[in-house]
Order: sequence, then structure tokens, then C-alpha cells
Amino acid sequence: MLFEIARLTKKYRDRTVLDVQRLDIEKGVIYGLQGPNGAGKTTLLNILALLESPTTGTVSYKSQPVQYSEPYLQRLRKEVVLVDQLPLLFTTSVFKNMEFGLKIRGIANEERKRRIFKGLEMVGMEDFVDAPAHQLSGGETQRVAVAARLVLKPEILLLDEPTANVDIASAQQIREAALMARRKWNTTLVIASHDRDWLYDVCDQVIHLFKGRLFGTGKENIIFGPWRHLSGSLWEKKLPDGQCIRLSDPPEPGAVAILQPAAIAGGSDTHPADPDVHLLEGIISRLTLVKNSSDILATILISTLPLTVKISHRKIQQENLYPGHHVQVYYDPHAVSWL
Amino acid sequence: MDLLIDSFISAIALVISLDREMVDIVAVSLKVSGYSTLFAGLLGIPLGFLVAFESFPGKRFIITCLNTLLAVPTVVIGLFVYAFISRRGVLGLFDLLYTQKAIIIGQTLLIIPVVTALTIAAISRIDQRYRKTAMTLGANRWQTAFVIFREARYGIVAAVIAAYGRVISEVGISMMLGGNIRGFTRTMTTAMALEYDKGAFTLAVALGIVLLGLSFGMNLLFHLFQGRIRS
Repeated sequence: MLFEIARLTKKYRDRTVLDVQRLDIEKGVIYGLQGPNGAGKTTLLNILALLESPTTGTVSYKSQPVQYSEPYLQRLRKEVVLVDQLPLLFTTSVFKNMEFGLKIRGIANEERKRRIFKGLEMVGMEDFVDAPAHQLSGGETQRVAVAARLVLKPEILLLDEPTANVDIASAQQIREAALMARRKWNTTLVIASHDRDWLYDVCDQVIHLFKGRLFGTGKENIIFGPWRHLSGSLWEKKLPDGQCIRLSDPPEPGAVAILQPAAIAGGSDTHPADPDVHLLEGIISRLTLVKNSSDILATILISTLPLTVKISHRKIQQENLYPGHHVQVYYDPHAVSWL
Repeated sequence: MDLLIDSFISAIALVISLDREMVDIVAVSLKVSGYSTLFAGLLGIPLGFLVAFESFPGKRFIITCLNTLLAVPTVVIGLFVYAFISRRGVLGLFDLLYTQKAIIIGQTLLIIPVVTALTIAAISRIDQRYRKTAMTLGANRWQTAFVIFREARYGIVAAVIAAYGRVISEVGISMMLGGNIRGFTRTMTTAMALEYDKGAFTLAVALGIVLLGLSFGMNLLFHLFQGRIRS
């Protein structure tokens, strides 16, 4: 185990931005970190990168509790590196930027050069070795920043939205380079991204972060309030096209509902009338294959609300459920958990 | 009007002919201002870097004090240093009064706040992500400090240039601590004041032209570095 995090909180003044009861990061595994803006992804990455200390709780690295003293952290930071969401390069040449971390690690001159050229090649930037770093475009900067970390052959590479602000070609090269690091050096990757398809495609495990807390696998449907009382235990939220999402017993009108994809069924067949089941109509907008399984996650747009529904491969084939297809979605309003 | 035009024409001739007395005065000015800028840089840059880079209680108060000292009149510094180096002062035995060293001490004290405050501003402008980048790449405290210093280099050079511009044109300290001794402590500004008193404008105007030329050169350099900062 590389990282073990227990009962960790991080507060800025009185605001708790992170509250993680348990998180283990294993060697050689690719983790996806998902969650809306402000969920605490960057804070968690900064703590894993040993750039910030937790307010409470323990962080262990290779079974040793992390001591938050500079010399100790400097030693660990040589094994755990972070690529920022908007990385900066020093205002020197690309070569010097690539060389910085290698020099710090005392890598010999010839080996440094070899690694630098190899690293730039991995991200398709080998022709820019002598270019002034501050003249590179956003995508090129991101690629060099990733390469500058890869050449260090870290134990863990933390990537904060690595493809959010770059063109398609740069994003592709960054993705391939990161995966190559895992293949060649068994580097652990922790990737924070809004690109759900990519995360489900490459990650061994996806962690969902919401309001600073970890929950589920990131496939859950998060439905924000406000909820209006209907009758009995049922509350509803009206969608722009007039349909209503009905769920039972929110703790407060503004509560956030979690609906598991497995608790929702969808298809072109009409569900028999059942008072316990609520029915909605929508259109399939996307199909995503779940890694290492034959299940497919269908994103079904109910008015403006995207719902993720687990559908078997066989059903997709039988009912011709492709994007653009109108379907019915049904679920038990009681099969909900609340945040 | 004729007086000014005649003086200006004569002054131009004096500048072109590189008049011996004028060249000596300019040399003294450049020398003392150069040394005072060097010493202020050696003290002010590390001090500014330390204040900007580290977090400690009273940091804001120090920055406020430094900004206040930017506006201190040269005669106040002159008076303060005089109290120390005059015969009755605690440093009287070193016989510094009316020497170039006295001017250098006074001018250094004058521009230490300038160099320090502008270095703090230059370091503070540097994006925090440079620090974070250096740290995540494994840099220790010194290596991180070096990265920040390197990124702020144009701003720090601009701070030194601004400080040099301040001392080359000051008159209070040079007059009070140097005594305006011909060929020894007479600087461009003190010589101009003296020539004005005598009613002889030619040398004063010639020195004014040289001083303006130097100031223009300093400003050109300053803007060049400011441009590099922005780019």
C-alpha cells in the first residue's frame, strides 16, 4: 500500500473542504477522481502530493505515518509528483524545465539527457527541446509539464484535470504518456477529471468526491433539490418539460439525492403499472462500457437531467438502445439515499 | 530668455568638448551612486526576498514601514548620518564627514527601502504556482527560493535601476555629508546648486543635460525590464 488515509479533514478557516474517513492508494493502480467543482479534488491531490497538511487525521506513506516537517516531506516528494490543473513552466528553455527535477535527484548528465529526449518524445514535444518554455501554447505547456514529471519515474503521478484546458491532440498524447508510465514503471496514477468516459475507460477504480466526502464509484446519480412535498413520504422536483422526479423522505427540502444506477431500469418496453415504481421518459445521450465487465452505462436525458442507468449488453442489442433512442426509465422512489 | 539660450549653447559645447571639470564631477557622481546602489542591492535584495518569501508575524507592519521610508527626505537622512559621523558622533573617530564614503553611507540608507520594497513587490508578483511546481518536483527550500528569485529577476533588476535613479539625482545627502568639495565630493547635483548660487549657468546647464541624459538612459533600461516582466 502506498498511501493510507484515515479520518482526514482539511479546513480553511472554519470551512471543512475535505472529510475522508478512509482512502487507500495501492501500487500500480490507476485511480480516477471525480466530482463537481469545489468538491475537494484539488485539495485531496495537494495532500497526496504532500504540498498541504491535513487539519486532522493521519496520512501514511508506505506504512509510515507522514511527518509534516520540510526535510521529511522533501524526501517523499521525490517519489510523489503532481501536475497542476494549469501548470507553469519556468521561464527558461524546455530542456532546463525538464532537467530541474532530474538534477535535484542527482541523475548523471548523460542519463539526464537521455531521459529528457525520451520524455519529450512520449508527449510529441521532441522538436521543442531548446524552445523558450514561456512561448509554448497551453497544450504544449501541459505536455511538457507532464513529461517533466514522467522522466522522474515517480511512484505516484497525480494529475489534476490534465486534459481540461488543452486541444484534442494534446489531450490524447497526455493520456497515452500517463498510461505508458503505468505500463513501463508500474507508476500509480491518480487522475482528477470531469471526463467520465476516459476515467471509466482507463481507471481501475473511480472515486467520487462530493462536498469534500468520498462516496461510491462516481457512477451514482446526484440529484440536487429543492424538493416539494407531494403526499405521504413522497417529495418531487419538477423538470422543465413538466415531468417530475419523485423520491421519498428527503431530510430537508434542499437535500441532495443519490440514486444508484443499478436501482434504475431503462428500456423501450413499457413497464407494467406498479404503484411502487415511478416512470419517466427520456432519450439516450451516451453509452459507456464499464471496464472489465459486459455492463453498459447509459446516460439518459430526462428533460435537462442526465440519469445514469446500468443496462446489460444483451438488452442494448435486443432493444436497439442507441443514442437518440427514446426510452422509459423506472425506479423505486424509496431506493434513494440522501446527502 | 537670451541668458537661457546662450547658456544652453555654451553647455552643449561644454558637453561635446568633454570639459575636464565637468567629467570629474560626473565621474564622482557615478562612482558614489554606483557604490551606494551596489551596497543597497547587497542588503536590500536579500532583505526584500526574505520578507516576501517567508511568513512571519509583523510582516505587513514591516512592509508598511518600508513604504513609508520610500518618501523620507534626503535631508533627514543627511541629518541622521551627520549625527553619527560628525566629530561628536559615535563614528566620529573614523573621520568620515565630507568624504565620498559619507555620501555612500547616506545614499545607501536612502535607497535600501527602495530596493527592499521593490524587491518585495517583484517577488510578490510571481505566481504562487512556481513555488508549488518547484516543490512538487522535489526542490528543497533553497532550490525553491532560487526558482522564485530567477522568475523575479527582471523585477529585481528594475528595483536596482529605480534605486540608482533615485541617488544619482539627490542633492541633500551629497551636500550635507560630502560638503561639495571640488574634485573630491562635488557631485552633479551639488555642483549645479553651487553654479546657480554663483550665477554661472553654463556648467550647471551642462551637468543638467548629462543628468537628464543619464536619467533618460535609466528610464529606458527600467522600461525595458518592466516590459520583460509583463511578457
